[in-house]
Amino acid sequence: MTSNGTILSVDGLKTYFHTEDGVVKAVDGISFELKKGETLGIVGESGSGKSVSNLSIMRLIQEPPGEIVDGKIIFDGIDVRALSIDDVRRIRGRRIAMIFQDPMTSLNPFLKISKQLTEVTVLHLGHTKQQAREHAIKMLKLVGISDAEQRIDSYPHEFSGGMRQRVMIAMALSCDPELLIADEPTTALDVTIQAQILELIKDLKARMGTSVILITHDLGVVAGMTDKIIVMYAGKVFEQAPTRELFATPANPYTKGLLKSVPDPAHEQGKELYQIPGLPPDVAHLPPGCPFAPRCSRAEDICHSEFPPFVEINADHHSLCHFANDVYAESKSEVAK
Amino acid sequence: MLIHLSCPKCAANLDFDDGIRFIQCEFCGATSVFDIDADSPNLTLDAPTPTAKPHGPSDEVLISIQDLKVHYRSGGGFLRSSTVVKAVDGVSLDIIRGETLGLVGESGCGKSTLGKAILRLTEPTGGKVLYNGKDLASLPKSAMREQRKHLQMIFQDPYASLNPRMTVGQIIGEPLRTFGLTNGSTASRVEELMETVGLSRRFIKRYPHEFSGGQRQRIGIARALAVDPEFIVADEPISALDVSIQAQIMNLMERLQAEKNLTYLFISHDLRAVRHLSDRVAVMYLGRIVELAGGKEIYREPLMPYTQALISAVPVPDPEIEAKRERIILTGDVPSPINPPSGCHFHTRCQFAIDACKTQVPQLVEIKPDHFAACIRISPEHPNIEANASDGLGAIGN
Repeated sequence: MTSNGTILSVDGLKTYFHTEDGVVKAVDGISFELKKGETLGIVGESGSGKSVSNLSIMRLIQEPPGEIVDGKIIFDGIDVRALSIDDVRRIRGRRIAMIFQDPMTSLNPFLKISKQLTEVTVLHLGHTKQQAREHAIKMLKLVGISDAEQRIDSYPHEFSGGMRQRVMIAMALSCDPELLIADEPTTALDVTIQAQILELIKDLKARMGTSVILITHDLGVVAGMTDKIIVMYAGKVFEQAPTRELFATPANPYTKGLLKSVPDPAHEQGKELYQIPGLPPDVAHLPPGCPFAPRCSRAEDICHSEFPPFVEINADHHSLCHFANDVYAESKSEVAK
Repeated sequence: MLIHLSCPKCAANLDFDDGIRFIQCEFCGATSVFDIDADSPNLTLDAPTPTAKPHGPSDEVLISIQDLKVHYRSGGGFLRSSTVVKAVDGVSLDIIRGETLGLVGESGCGKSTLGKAILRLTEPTGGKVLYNGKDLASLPKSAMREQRKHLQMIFQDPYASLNPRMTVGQIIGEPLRTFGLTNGSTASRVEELMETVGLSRRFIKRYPHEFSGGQRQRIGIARALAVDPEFIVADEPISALDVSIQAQIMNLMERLQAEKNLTYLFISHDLRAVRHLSDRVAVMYLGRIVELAGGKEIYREPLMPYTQALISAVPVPDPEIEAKRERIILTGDVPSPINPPSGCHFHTRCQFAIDACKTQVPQLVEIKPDHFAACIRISPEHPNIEANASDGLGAIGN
């Protein structure tokens, strides 16, 4: 698997949660391949399974109630599902790192930044205290924290949200991971700070060749950052395509709806915004047939009764829809106009 | 009782109910004030506010904010002096009837405090909020309560702003009971409100936890609408919602505005949403308004460097555009409002800052028609800061 430069391959991953309400199929069959240096965007609304799929890759799903039921997770030739927890820990933080949405809750408020940053490299890289401290200062400088020598001994609450996210990134990158998973890294931040952080991730990616999985609900963020995109809905992959192709010629009604419902600053104000009617489904009680059918404007009888096929538009572009080819043809003709 | 008078401007006959103070003439559009105290009832033309301030096509100012200040004391204690946080520091704005005024800024810039101070949910420490000829900021508490019938708020967090122990019917009906508007049955009015905001009336006995975020926001909107307000402060009403639901709520707000002639102050950090909903946009930075212009205008041609950076930071959902465009990346964070930079608050992050920016506080000046900006490096003759900087023009504004 590693021969063609693939760093991570996920095949048919299924993660279910056993709850009082029945079995929640949070992730129900997701497959993708990520090459070295590539950035994959995973887009979806809350409850679509985008975070759970990545927690599964890191083996961070709490069992019970969660369970990885099926699928393969191959990271650089290693079968992650077959590893013991100790072996997973050796990979986690060192070769695969993760940045979470909320930098306030993912840093320990009682420990100085220096303690939290050096812990990682002492553990994974066998640094001495002195080495670890120097390395930590170097990392803080790398992520753009000025006077890192002084600020390293601050507590998390002394930093602003954007600074804390920088500290998180510094921590995530301090062991020079091959894969960085960023789960909504800028959602809690202001736009100007978001721009800074995204620019930083781009820059670090270019310099260190890290592969990135970027999870977000913001189509604007993935547009500028990623090579390919997976759109998730109700635990299923609804569409998967290279970024430009997905934005130009979506082949799934849900993707089309999402793209249209984002107000575009370039467009005129005052026009009614396209809206997807209804609510995201309760994943514990999915309707028969296509999970998006109740909200889909072009749904026909078959959509309400039969689960849709995962249609191959071309080698890199797939869409979960009974009418994927029709939708794709429509998008193509819209582009031609 | 119905009163018949003629418009003081065009002499057209006007019929209106006793108890109305402002009358807009259907023929010439002039607004007159009905003088209740005089012996014989008469109408006088509503004089424009002396401090003429920016506004859009409709001319009637609904709320005039004048030099509003909210200063908090923070810290302090035994033998320690307290510091003053100037959350809102001398804001003047006119809100026009029927418009949506967007208020944008980064977290901590005071935009929410300004919204709350207008409704006196936070007590202003200085300045005026004129509404219907009354200064809301100095009204006694009981009189202010009475005014809340006309002034309502939609909150950001639909999870925290609804009482979990009340049913939807009780939540939406509460303002009706509070203001004694329950002639007949509250239930039928509540059901009507629920339909208006797109909730099935079957849900009337349900509790907030049984609803999704978007539906809860609809409940919050229905509650705000219950008293038939004129003006609604919407504080980040869509920030906590999913993308597909955001579009639903924005469309709902627009439809309600058209149906009920509502005026919105739409507070958000989401520039795309603000761009979509607002007629005019005010940009706030550390307690001050730094730019104010029409929604289209401010996105096409932002004048103040902070607005330029803010707009440039918004990611565009189009990979082709994203690949090409150059972003202005601001360095550093928003400075703390406890100890804001001197002069122009923005000078610490501004690529065009000169020495004078550190001392001179820029005023909001009309640079172009209906386009106001606070920056000493631009003037009506030289509105382009980049050109001014390369021409070596210094402090040319006030």
